[in-house]
Amino acid sequence: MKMESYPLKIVVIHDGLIPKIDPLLVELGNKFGEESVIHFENSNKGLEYVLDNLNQKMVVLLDINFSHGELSGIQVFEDIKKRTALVYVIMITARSLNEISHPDLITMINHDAMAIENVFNYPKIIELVEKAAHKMETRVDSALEQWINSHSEADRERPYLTTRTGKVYTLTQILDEIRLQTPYGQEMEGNILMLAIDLLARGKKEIND
Amino acid sequence: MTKFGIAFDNNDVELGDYFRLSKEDIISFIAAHCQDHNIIEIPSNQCNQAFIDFTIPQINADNFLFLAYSHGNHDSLTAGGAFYIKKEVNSALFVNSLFYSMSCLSARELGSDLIINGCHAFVGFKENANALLGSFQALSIECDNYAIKAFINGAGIKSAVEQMKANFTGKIDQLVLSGEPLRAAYLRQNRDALWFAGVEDLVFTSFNVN
Repeated sequence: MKMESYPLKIVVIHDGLIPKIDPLLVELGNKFGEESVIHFENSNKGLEYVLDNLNQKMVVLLDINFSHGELSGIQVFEDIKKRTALVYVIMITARSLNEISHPDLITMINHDAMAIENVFNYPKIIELVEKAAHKMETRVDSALEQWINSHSEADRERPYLTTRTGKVYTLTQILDEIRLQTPYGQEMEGNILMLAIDLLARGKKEIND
Repeated sequence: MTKFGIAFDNNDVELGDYFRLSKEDIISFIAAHCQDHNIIEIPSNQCNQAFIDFTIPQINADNFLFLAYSHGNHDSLTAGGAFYIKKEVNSALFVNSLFYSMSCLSARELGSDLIINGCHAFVGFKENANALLGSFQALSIECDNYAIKAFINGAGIKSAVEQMKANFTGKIDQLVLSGEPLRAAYLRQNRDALWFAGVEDLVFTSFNVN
C-alpha cells in the first residue's frame, strides 16, 4: 500500500531574493511544487514560522545577513538548532567564505549546518535540497509518519502509549515528540531503531505486510 | 512452606491498577501451583521503610521470595514518592531472598547491593521499563511475570530469565506482525533492560522451608 506523507516544506529566509520571480524561488517551485516553497524576507518572521511548524519536514535556506533590527542568519540558525536537529539548514550567501567571521563559521560547523553555498549557484542549491529531502525520507520520523498515516485520523488522535510515569501519548504526539527531539522523542526514536535492528538481526523482514 | 513477600503500589496515580493486577496475577498462579505457601501482601500504605524493616526480619532467617511491583530508580524502590527499600539502608534485610523487581532501573545499583548482602538472586530492569495498558495490559503483565512463573514451575532462575527474554521476543514479533511496531518497540526495550545476578541454578524447591 502506498502511503502519503506530509509534503516537504522548503523555507527560504532571505531578503535579497525577489518574491515569486527570483530564479532560485522559481526553480525550487518547479522542482518541489510552488506550494512547498515558502519565502520570508524578514528573518524574525521566518524563524517564527519554522519554530511553529517543527512537526513538519522542512529544509531551511537561510541568508546570513539581514537588515538592522532583524535577527542575523546565525541567530536564526542557532535558535532553530536549539529546538531541533531534524531541520536541515543550508546557509546561502553572496559573500565568500573568508568574509564570514570565524566564530560564525565555528557555530555553523558545530551545529551541523548542512552546507554553506553561494546564493547564485542555483543548481548546487537545488541539489543540496534534493539531498536533504532524501535524507528526511530515510529518517525514523519519516518512516513513522508513513506508518501513522496508514491509520484513520480518529486512531491517530486516540491515546496510544503510556509511559511508566503516566504520560499518555497519541500517535500524532509521538511523531511530534520525535520531530521536536524531546527526551521522550529521542527515547522512542532509539527504541524504533533498536527494534528495527533486532528484527533485521533475527531475519524478520515483514512488518504489517 | 514457601514464603513470599509481595510489595505493590496499588495507590500509584498512573500505574496503581497495573501494579495491583500484576500482584493478583502472580498470587493466582502461586495458589494454583504451590500448595503450601504463605504470602505477605504489602500494599501502598505499607510500602514504607518502617514496615519493611519490621516485617522482613520475621521471615529472612530462611529462604524467601520477594516480589516488587512499584516505581523505582537506580538505588531504591519507591512508593508515594519515598523509598521503602534502598541500597545500603535496608537492602541487607533481603539476605536469603530471591528478589524479583519489576520497577525501572533498580538493577543498576540496588540489584548488585542486594547480592553483596546475601540475596541469592536478583531479577530486574537496568533501564526504564514500560507498561502496556488498555487492551495490551494482560500481555504486558504476562511478560512481566513470566520468569517468576517459570521458576515456580521448576526452571532454574537463570533459565527462567532466559525463557522470559524468549517470551518477550515472541510477543515482540506478534506485535510487529499485527501492526503494532511502537508497542513492540516498548517490549524490546523491556527485554533488553532485563538483568539477572546471583546463583544461576537456584531452584524453587530450595525455598520450601519449615
